[in-house]
Amino acid sequence: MSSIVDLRGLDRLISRVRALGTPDASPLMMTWQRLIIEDNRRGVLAGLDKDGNPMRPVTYRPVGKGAKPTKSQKNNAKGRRGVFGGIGPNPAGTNNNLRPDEYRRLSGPPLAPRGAFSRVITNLRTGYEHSAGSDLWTAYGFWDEVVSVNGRPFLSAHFRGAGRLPVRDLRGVRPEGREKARRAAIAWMSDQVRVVARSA
Amino acid sequence: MATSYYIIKGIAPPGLSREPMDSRLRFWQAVVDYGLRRKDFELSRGLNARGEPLPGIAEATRKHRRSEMTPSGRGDPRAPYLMPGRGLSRTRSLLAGKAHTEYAEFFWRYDPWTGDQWGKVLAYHARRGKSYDVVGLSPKGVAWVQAQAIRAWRAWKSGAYVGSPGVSTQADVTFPQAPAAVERPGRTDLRFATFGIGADQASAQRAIDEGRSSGFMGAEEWARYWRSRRAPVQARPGMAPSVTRGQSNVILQRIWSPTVQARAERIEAGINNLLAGIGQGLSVDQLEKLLGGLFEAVLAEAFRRGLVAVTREAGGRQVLRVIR
Repeated sequence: MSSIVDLRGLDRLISRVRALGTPDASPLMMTWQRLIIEDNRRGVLAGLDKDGNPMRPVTYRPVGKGAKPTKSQKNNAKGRRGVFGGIGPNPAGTNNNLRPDEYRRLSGPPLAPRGAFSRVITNLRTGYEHSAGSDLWTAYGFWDEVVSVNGRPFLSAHFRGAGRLPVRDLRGVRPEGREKARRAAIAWMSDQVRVVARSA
Repeated sequence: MATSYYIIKGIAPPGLSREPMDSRLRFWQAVVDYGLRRKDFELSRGLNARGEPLPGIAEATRKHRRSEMTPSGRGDPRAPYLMPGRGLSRTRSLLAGKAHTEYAEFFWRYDPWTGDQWGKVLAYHARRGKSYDVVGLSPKGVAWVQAQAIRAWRAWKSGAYVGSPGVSTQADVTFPQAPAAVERPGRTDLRFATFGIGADQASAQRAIDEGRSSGFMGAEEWARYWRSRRAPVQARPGMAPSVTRGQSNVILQRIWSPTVQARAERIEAGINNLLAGIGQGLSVDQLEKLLGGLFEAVLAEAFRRGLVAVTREAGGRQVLRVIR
């Protein structure tokens, strides 16, 4: 799902960068990858979808007062950041799946019963690519090894709202993140123009 | 708001304004080179823009000192304020200079961690008070730079100039080398991927297959990769002295490496693509797509060199041909 950074109004700056040749935009890609990760983390924990709108609350949990995940449910992660847990045995369970009676007690936001230790946050992977022969650089993110006990990826069913599931789509960068990405692009382009352009 | 860059002017030798542009640029380039060396010297000794010691760091900061630029991510507890990674720290390693015809400009380059020019971060620190301000060169430093630059410029004028390691006779920074290449430090197995933000699986897979992808990793893995050691970057005018002396990691390599492909080289590559495209029977539309915005320039150059010609076929159709 494409998340376009709006660069309207920057025609002059863009044309000056293009005139320089083929700049290496990997430093900007580094920033954008970090933005994707941070935007996803903040958005998920705030219960927001890809557009920054609140997701439909879950109704079947928490059962009781609502609990925080235990150490093993967090895959023994230290501190406030979770760790990747994918296919295979994990302290939290097979393929990093909690048992239904476990996650029903947890109070995390939609799609993230374990909060910051949930797979929609810990298993987000990022990369970037450069289209040969053009000025197009793309940073992207996806969720890796988020599978059921049987080994089937299931997140896209939530994203699409398959069957009776409500649509809870995380496939995008929220407006605040896109604005940050735009500002970073301006800063990077200005740097290129400043360094490479001829002296006045 | 404090500024994110500084300039040095008003230190020119008498009569410089009447000199030709090349001569003026040589003087200000010497100011850039000596100015960078002096600023790096002052920073390495923990001095602020007034040449006075920077404030100490809090005990809690010292205990858990971190650096976004060192391979381990840890900072030196004894290093000065704003420079936990010493020579690798952005305050020293992203420092840049540029000569103009009437002044020398000093600034800090783009920082991928903050998504902004590092000078902006330094300007925020400067708001804490003058003792925290590193944006500028001390008066003693300016006097030293002036003396050195005038000496170097006069030596050049008299023909005796041999240059110093940091002094270049180039007028400005030029990056005349290869196009950007995408390194692939990450993994490439997308079998259990759920896409995605910014791309779909098919396009990500295509980029991997075509060698245009970085591969993928998690946030911590990327951070370790960006901070990991790399070979020293080739020195060039206007570059931070700490980088010139060999401080390097992936970030600094990407920031400072020659990465802009000169237009002439792009046209050269375009001609090769044009000839190959014609050989494969591509239509004009397809060739235009292949060459992007350079189509007309490449075609004109190929005609000028006599590599291609338009011939008329029996039916009157005009065809672009490669001349062997």
